[in-house]
Amino acid sequence: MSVTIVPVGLLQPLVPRGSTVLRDAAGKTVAEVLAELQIDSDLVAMVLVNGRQTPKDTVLSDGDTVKLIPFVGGGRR
Amino acid sequence: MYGYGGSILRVNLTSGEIRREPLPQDLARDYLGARGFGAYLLYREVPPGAAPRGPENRLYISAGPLSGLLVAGAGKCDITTKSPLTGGYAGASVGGLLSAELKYAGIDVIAIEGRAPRPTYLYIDDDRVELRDATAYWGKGSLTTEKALKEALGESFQIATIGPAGESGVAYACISHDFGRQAGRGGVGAVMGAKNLKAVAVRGTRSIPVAQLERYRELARAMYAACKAAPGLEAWQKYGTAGVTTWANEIGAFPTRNFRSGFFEDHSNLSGETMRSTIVVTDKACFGCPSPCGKYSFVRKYGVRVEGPEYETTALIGGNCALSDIEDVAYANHVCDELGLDTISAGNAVAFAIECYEHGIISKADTGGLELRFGDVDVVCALLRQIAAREGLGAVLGLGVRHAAATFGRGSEAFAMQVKGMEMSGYESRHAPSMLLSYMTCDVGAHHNRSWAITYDITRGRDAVTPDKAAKVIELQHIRPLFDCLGACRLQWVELGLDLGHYAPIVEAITGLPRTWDDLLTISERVWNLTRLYWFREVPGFGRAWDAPPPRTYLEPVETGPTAGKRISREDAERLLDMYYEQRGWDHDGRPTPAKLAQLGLAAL
Amino acid sequence: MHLHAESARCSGCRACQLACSLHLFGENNPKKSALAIVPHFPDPGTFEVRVCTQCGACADACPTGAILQNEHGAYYINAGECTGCLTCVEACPEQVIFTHADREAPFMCDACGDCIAVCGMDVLSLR
Repeated sequence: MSVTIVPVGLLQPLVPRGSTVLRDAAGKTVAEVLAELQIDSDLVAMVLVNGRQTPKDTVLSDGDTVKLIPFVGGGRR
Repeated sequence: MYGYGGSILRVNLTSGEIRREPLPQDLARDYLGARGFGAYLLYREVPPGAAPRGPENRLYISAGPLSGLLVAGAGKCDITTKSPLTGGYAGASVGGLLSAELKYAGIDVIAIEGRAPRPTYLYIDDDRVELRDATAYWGKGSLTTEKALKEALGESFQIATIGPAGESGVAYACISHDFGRQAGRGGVGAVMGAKNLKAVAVRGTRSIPVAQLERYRELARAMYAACKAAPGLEAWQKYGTAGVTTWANEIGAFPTRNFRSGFFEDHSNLSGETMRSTIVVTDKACFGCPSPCGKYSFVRKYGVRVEGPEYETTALIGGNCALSDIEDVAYANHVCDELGLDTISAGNAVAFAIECYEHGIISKADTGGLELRFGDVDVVCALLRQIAAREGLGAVLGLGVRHAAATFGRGSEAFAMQVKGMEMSGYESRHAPSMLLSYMTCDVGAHHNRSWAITYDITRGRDAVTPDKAAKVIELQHIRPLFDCLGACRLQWVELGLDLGHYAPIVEAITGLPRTWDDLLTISERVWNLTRLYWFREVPGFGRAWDAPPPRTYLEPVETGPTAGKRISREDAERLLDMYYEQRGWDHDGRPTPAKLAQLGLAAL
Repeated sequence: MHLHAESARCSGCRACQLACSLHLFGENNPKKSALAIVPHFPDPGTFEVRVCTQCGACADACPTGAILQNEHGAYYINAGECTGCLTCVEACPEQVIFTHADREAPFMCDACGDCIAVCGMDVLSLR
């Protein structure tokens, strides 16, 4: 009963071991989970929940896999 | 010459004379290719004060040293001319297979001058080059013409063509290629139309020589391997640029109702996911691209096919005209493609007209009885057709929003969303100072491709107006247009995070000229300063005032969404310019100083 | 072993053709490659990829016995024995034996697999 967060590329170092399983994330929005992980949601270009792009106000369900796609070479740093 | 086609093809449409010149080695050394070639040749060859639509203006279609080689995304072609939209420099980029085919025909640049006595197309089959009658194609849409020419000449020919908008002289007519790729900005299609040149058809069967074959093959394999290993590859392949529509709304940067807002309430109807699951049928790539952003769609409601809509079209035809059905946006995209209109400028022009109508600045007497309102696809398409035909309101709108505002007056200048006469592309920037500065200083007008700095604003604070923001814009204005000199696409870097360290070694292996990344950036800075000099030479009184943002950005706050209430002050915009000019080595009026020109080897100009 | 293509995934970029001409001839030239990308645009808007299935029809048709199999079992044209009659080109059911003005003998896929590595869409595989 959990949600798996998979940040890719530049977002990876922000989460230990490259991905993280959150036990209490079901019922929260993607944006809330990002805030808990201290990831700036405005720098996440795309959120894919179970392979489909969703807005960050999407409420997560048990078993969801959330992939976070950043902007990388667009002048971020 | 290693890595190059090796020649400039000169075509005089007035006399019918066609000749090939060897590509000068100095030109390749100092200006690299594509955008660099176009900028240099425009400056040197087109007489000062030339009328953009006159025979003395020239059109340069140029490939770069990477075009047509085994380099990820090496499918970009540059088209340079004096812009009928802005009166200054126009350099438009188009993907597809055109620049690769030019190289296989042994050509780096097609330099077109004069005016053909009748509708004509340029036929290139390796060494056989002819001007052929195009009367049968004149008046036909871009997609129709491309299909007809491919049927007549063979599938292996690559076609660049204009539609009715280019023929009628719409100041933002595009040049179309590969059923959905456009050299969109600055009115390059109108210049082609003014020359009575309907199309260019090219086929080449030669090999492109490279200097260090095995090193090049090894570097190429590493480049593709890195792209394929990029963790974001799958997502970008699936959605293309449309993947950022949702994000743009979440950060309040999605142009909506003529940039009154940065958030469109129906944006989820236009999202990448909506598009992918409802209309996309095929992923469509430019030459050599492992991460195709092209999404080819079938629009059931209208029974038409279209490449796209990509993000910019969704922003300017979708949000900015308040169309809330992806099929309507895709249909309007198809209409623009067939007519040969740049969707960015056209979306701006339509939204501007609708807002003028709402304010009572224009009325049914001006619109031919059409009641203009946001959110109505029929209104959008009716205006697009008027524009392409230069009929009714289209006669005014077809010259761009700067011209339309000057014609309509009554305060409409404040919401004509343009810089230097070019309509603004898809990022509402009142709460993104470095993005706004990117628009203000872009060398073709308000376009995003030279610098896309909005994520820098987010990282460093969206309110901050600090020198590092000007520095970032300058850095991006050298990196991103460098790709346009190389004849390659920047999106493998932007989206996949392909390390920039891949590029200099492969350029070196291909051309045999020793180059570091810094050497390449110096060329890019040289080109940037050269295009700036061109503006000063061509536009009387050119200077700081031409870098001002559209008044709406400092007069009115964003109406709704995450950035509601935000605007930038005029003073802050001026401070950004001061920082930018100083760091560029330009004077207070934005003119490159003699010291800067000397440093870049431009003192003689 | 032969090349297999899943056409529906192809985005038409032609990197495979460059990798192919580099392998066969050490040249950058899609017109000297041994697989075909056929675009069907604007309607229906799909790409068709045609590759050698190593069916051997070319070898059966060759009047001089110039088409042999290499150590992987892939067919190739022995240019020394080829008379340039183009019977194999006609015989190929996939139309993937190619000619070029630079070369007297036709050329075909030798199942090297170089194209696979540069395909971003994973269209190609060796089976």
